[in-house]
Amino acid sequence: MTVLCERCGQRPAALQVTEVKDGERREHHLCEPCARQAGALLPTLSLAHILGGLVPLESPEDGGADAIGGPACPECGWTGAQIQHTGQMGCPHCYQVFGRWVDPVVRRIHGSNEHCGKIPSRTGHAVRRQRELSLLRSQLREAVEQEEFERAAELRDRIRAQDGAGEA
Amino acid sequence: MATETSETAWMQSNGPEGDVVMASRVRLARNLQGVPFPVHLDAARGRAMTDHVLEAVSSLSRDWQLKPLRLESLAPLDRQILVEKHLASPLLVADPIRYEAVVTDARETVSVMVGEEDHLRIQVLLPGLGLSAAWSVADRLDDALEERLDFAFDADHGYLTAYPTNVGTGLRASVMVHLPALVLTREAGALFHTLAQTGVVVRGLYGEGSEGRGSIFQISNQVSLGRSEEEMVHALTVVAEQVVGRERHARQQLEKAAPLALADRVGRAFGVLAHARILTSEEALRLLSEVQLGIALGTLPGFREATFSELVSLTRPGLLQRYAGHELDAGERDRTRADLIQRHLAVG
Repeated sequence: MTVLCERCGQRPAALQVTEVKDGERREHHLCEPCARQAGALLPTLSLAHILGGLVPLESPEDGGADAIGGPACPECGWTGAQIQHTGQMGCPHCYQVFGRWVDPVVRRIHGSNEHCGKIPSRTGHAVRRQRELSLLRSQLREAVEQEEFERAAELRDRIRAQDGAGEA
Repeated sequence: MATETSETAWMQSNGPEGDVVMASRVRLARNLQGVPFPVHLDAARGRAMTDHVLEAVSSLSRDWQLKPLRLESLAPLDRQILVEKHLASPLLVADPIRYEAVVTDARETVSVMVGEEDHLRIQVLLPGLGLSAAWSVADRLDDALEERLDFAFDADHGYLTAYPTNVGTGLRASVMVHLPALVLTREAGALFHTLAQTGVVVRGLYGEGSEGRGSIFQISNQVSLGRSEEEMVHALTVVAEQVVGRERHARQQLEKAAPLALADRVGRAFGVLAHARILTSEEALRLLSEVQLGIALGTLPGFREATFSELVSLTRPGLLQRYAGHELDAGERDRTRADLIQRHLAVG
């Protein structure tokens, strides 16, 4: 016999959650989406869940039940349904094709959408220059705010030089 | 009898904080630009991908001493041994084998899995707590490979991986820890709960579902995007140091609160290991864990010519058959295991 989730009464209960309130223990039978809503899932569990498929985290607004839509990846032919089924992307290009659905999931898993780590030295040339530029720009803003005009001028020159190098 | 002690560096010696941390591992997920991920790769393209990667590997400097192993040409036992040494994942060596390969160095410190979930998984495994050192080796090997291979990368997502859980740095750092006192005092559960809230994952020795066997756990970072590799490695090192401190404290508490019961427990474990003739892998792991606690506390003498890590691995079915030099059925394995452990106990 399938036990139904006691919150939504629709999906089968996948988890038994023990709540301790005022020294009293209570057992709850919940489906995963409801357990997550109730904050009962530990990060480890939600990670395992995400590995199993992107399904419950799927829609752009994060919470609805829309499937991953759009056409198949033009490079490899992988579809949104296959992403949901396997939890995996078909090829590197899928990140662009399905970004609208996958990026919110990525943010949810990692708490970030911004790569701050290593950049490949050979193929990552443009990315590295961009990152250096944005660092210089934020330093420039800081310098201006602090009224360190000499430093600001120096930073401005460096940004110009970098920009010029990019256009050359 | 074939090679009794292994060549595998992480198993052979005790590294920093070796009384608690058995090994440190850093793994980098990398994929080739324009090639479908293994989940979506047919055998022909998979083979071409593997050929391409192995060609790059073979052109690396000889200093790396890397040796490729195509899994299809390996006997099932040899594949199983790769898993038991933590050089390949169970997933990689599972049937059907189509095109996958593993590259290792002579000391089995470095391995590259080809065709697992990602095209490449670069892994460095060191004894004790040595995540920074492991990262720096992995980083250098990654650089060397990147000179020859176009890795899939974009500015926002970083390194692109089959699972979005690995995207960004593609880095997973983990430490294998032995926490017998925290398990005995039942503090481990609360500690893991706290760790889980700080973005750290705790699993059993052989991944999900092997929780707590022999009081051995793997602690790893959950998040691979939004921080630099150095920050992640540092954060996990700090966590590992805290866990080491907690375990040592629990050991002292046990010694203070119940010295006799503790000595009795580890002594009994020693007695069974010294005299049992039949040992299942589960029982061996549990008893080895207790004896290791006795060794760490100075109650028992150390193992002879072997470390705890080594014995834990050597008593696994695959390595045990390698030790015996021939195939063993389950009953024979249990007898051989008992024999092997006795040779490494410093009796008398």
